[in-house]
Amino acid sequence: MTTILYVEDHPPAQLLMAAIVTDLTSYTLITAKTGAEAETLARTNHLEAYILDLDLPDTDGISLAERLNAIYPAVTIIVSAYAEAIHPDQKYLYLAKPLDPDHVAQILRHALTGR
Amino acid sequence: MWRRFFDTLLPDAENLLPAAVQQAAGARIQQYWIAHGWQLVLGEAILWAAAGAQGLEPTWGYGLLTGMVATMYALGCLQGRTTLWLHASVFLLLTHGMLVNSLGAVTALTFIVPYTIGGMLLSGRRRMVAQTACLIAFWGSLIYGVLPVLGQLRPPNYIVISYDILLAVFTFQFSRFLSQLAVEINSEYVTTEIRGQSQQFLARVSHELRTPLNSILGFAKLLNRPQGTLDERQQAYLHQIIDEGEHLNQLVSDLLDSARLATGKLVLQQDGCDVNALCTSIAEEQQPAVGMAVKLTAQCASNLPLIQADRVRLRQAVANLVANAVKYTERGEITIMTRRDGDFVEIAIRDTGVGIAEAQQALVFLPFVQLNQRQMGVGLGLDIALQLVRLHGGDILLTSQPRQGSTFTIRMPIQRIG
Repeated sequence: MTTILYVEDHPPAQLLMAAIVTDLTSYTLITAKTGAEAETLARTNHLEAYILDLDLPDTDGISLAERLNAIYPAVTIIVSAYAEAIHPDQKYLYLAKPLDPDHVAQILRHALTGR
Repeated sequence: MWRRFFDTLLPDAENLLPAAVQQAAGARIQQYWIAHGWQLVLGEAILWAAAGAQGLEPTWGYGLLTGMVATMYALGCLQGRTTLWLHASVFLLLTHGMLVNSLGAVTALTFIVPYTIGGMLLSGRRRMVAQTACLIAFWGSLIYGVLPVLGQLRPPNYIVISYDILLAVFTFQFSRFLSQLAVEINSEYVTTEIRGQSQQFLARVSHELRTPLNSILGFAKLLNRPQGTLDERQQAYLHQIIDEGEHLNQLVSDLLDSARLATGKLVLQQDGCDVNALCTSIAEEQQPAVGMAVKLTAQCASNLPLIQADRVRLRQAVANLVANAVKYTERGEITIMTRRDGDFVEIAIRDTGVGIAEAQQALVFLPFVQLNQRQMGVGLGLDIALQLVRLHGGDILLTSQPRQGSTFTIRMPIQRIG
């Protein structure tokens, strides 16, 4: 069973990602609201991918990505509603809000089976 | 009441100008002083010579005055020593006034200059010291220079009067320059502040608008699955939600792009770009939006070289022009044509739509201008296209005839210029 962690503090966005993952993929999604919560989950679960919102209450998606990958390296996708803040690099995948469910599912499948 | 009276006499320690603005102002003042200060030195030297020729006593006094102004000039030419120059100026001007009777009133006037410069360039304690020194010097030279003269009232000689005129003219010139500079600095400062603030505001607004759009569009698209249980009418409603949501999202992106182009924050990621492939795919992509009576085609020139461009941004510019043509063409043809013209590649978008009168052709590229009020949108498409193409070192040309149609031609340099 492949588990993905989604870190996002906005409940409707959490609900949407849960729906996308449940409806369109065969993966399991667990969610966290803050960076601290995410780090705890990353230590206690075997995670295959991190989807991180750029704008979090206690940290930002990029520095959280660094910390989570230090705990356990996995596919990392940064999601942002600040399209202008996205500077694509080689390290992580980037997605802009509003998310397209099919596109998200496709990216997840591609990233997780391509490993 | 007394406190308020003294407050008006004493300067503020606060200076609201940021350091960068102060530095720019300091450089401008120094430039002015280097360009014009020598006139004062020369004027005083001539008067010194005239006093000597006339045998006026004390001739050495006039020489000393010239030496002081020359020292002020030399100090002003030293890079980055504004504070030293200011304090030296106050001291020298004060002594200046004491040396020659009846120079006091005019010398007092000259303290307006260091007072104003101090207010512009210094902050905190240094500002207070410089401006207080100017005020003391002002009252000092006025009382010391004017009061004894009132008692003696010697018949003035023309050398002294010439000194007065020279100093007064120079002070007024300098003050005029300073007030002009203050206005310039202020408007520049306000413009950059507003730019920064509006940029932050737009980033926040876009974030706030995209967050609910994420839920609206995401859930609507999840409902819109082929294996869903919605009937035809419900499907139609859902399509409306998705279409309008996408439209709103486009508006948010356009507003942000326009703001980032206006503030120079948009950075191109240039690479080799195949213009023909780009135009063909845009023609395919826009096909569904075209009316039944309109034929949209791409006519590509063969052997077109790759051009240095940001693929995403050039695509956005061409797509905006095509979307504009689609909007204003009810029947006939829309053709996207590519060709090479020397060091440029041209992408022409020709339509058989409503066309634009000559008087209005310059207006269409202005942001928020729409010639047809009944059309959707906020009027940013052409502005964004033009700004994006210009950022690449290219340009957009427009030829149009009312009721005949329009041709927008993008001229892109093959190699990036500059």
